[in-house]
Amino acid sequence: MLAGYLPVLILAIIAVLFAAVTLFVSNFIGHKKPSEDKLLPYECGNVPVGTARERFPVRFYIYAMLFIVFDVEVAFMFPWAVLFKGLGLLGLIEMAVFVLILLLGLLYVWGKGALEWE
Amino acid sequence: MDLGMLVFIVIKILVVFGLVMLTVAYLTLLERKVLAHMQVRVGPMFAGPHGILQPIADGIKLFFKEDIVTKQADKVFYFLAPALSIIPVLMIFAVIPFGDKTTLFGLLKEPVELRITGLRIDILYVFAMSGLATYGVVFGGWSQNNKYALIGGIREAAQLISYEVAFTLSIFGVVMVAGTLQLDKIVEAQRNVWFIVYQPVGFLIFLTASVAELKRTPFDLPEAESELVAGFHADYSSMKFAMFFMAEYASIVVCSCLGTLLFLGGWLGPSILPPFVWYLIKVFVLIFVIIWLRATYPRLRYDQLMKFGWKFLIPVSFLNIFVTAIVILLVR
Amino acid sequence: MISTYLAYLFSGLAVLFAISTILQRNPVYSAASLIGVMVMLACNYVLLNAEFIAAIQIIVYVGAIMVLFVFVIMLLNLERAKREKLLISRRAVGVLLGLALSLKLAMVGYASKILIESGRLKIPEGMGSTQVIGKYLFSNYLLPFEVASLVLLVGLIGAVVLGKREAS
Repeated sequence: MLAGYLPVLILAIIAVLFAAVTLFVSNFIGHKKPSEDKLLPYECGNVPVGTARERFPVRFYIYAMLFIVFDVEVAFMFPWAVLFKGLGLLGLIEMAVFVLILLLGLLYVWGKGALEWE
Repeated sequence: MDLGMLVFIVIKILVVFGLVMLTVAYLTLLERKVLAHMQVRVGPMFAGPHGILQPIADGIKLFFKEDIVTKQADKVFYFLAPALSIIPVLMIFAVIPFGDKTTLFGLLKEPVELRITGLRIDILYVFAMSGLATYGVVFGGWSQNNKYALIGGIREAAQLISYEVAFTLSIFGVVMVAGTLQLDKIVEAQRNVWFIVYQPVGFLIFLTASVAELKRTPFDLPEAESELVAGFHADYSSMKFAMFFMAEYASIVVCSCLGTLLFLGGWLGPSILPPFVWYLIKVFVLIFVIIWLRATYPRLRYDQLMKFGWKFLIPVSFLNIFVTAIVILLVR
Repeated sequence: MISTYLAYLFSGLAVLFAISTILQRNPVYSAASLIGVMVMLACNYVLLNAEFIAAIQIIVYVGAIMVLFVFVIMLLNLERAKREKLLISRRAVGVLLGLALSLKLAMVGYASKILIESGRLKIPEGMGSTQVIGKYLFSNYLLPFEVASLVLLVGLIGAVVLGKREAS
């Protein structure tokens, strides 16, 4: 069974080598004529003011949190989907309870207006 | 594990690698040509007849371009991000089958599988790798210290994770009917009826979510040219820029392959054509549809995008799964 | 044979990434190192024939939880909040807690080794595959499975309460 993963490992090594070699070779052979203005971040010709790494709306954090919850849920659903035909009605009820609890969560988030983009 | 086996694996990987790179290169030309003709233009015409050598010219040009590393950029992540975006996509091709078992027209004694390897958890592997693609975007956007790039990167990451859920949920119907996570067995399960017949809603969700995952029109807000100057890769040039694009086009190929394998019967088809040809035809039909969408739809607004993902696509995906489950129980 | 060497390689890299996680001054670098740790652990799971766990490790930890970490670091602009010198007393507490946790983990590992060797704890045939995990999850461990969704619900509500407080 492990033998199935050997090609994955080899592919990973080849992919990493490909990316590294391409990046370094092109960095090496492309001729360089740096100038003060060229090395500024491109912001449509304006000289950048301050740093770009400022604070962001907390909304993005809520989406990330929502995603974690649903991702874990999906992880639980994979074995269920594979076995579904064997589990039958009982399996359906088990998963329905699980999913409904989380859909309630989604409804709560929805109702609280956290999905709105004011 | 003998040496011959190892050489065989490496040859298989290199063949797939070469084919993918060739497809990716010519996908850029295909897209430009298709869009041009839809907009009554002719597209690239100068490099070779009908611009057939354009991708090669582009590649050489990008390779010799000046590799600009802006002063405020975080050097480590600036280099790492393009690699992080392409490596997971290439890794997905490890489990994608390209056709039925074949002896290559009698060339080999024993039939070989037209894929690099088969795992018992093919589909989980695909989702694991596609989940990694977020980091190329986030770190790329962050490393440049460019306001447009960072906004694009964060937007993109939020979009990717939002649609990842619907993308994953859309294929559950297929897994339930087939009862396996192995891609070749899923194709075999479609010998009588393609799963698109059982799972029309699932297929539509899959297509929509994959277009969003591919960050293409109408979901191309992260790189909205007109407002974010190309978004998360604004400052990138040369091969680093090219690598983001290779990753994007390779993902188009991955999504089309997955759609074909899961919903369109993979390599199955009337025996007038070999299985591999059927497979290619279906993959290119899906690629064409994805390009077609770009010529048809305007860009969404960001609030509409998130609303559509969470308030429509995800509830509908769950509904689809439970309706499928009930139907399976009733039919049995 | 070759898998033993690979296990040492992956474990060694995991330890290196872990050390890098705590030593890096920039939080984004720390998070990236932690991602490295998670990936190496997944590789080790594959070597232990637990491919389902390996895939879930990548999907949940690398694909979701670390994304949240990176988000929070970037959203709060933590990188400028350089690591301050910690008080000696706090460091001592940290070291003690770390040692206690390591000891606990070692005990659990040793206990399960004894239980398995004496035959009191049986590992089901084919454990680690999706089918077997599913079989146990939806029969023997049904209650923990359903409780998991309640835990997730609490997490969700907590996130909204924290996130919306600022907006109102």
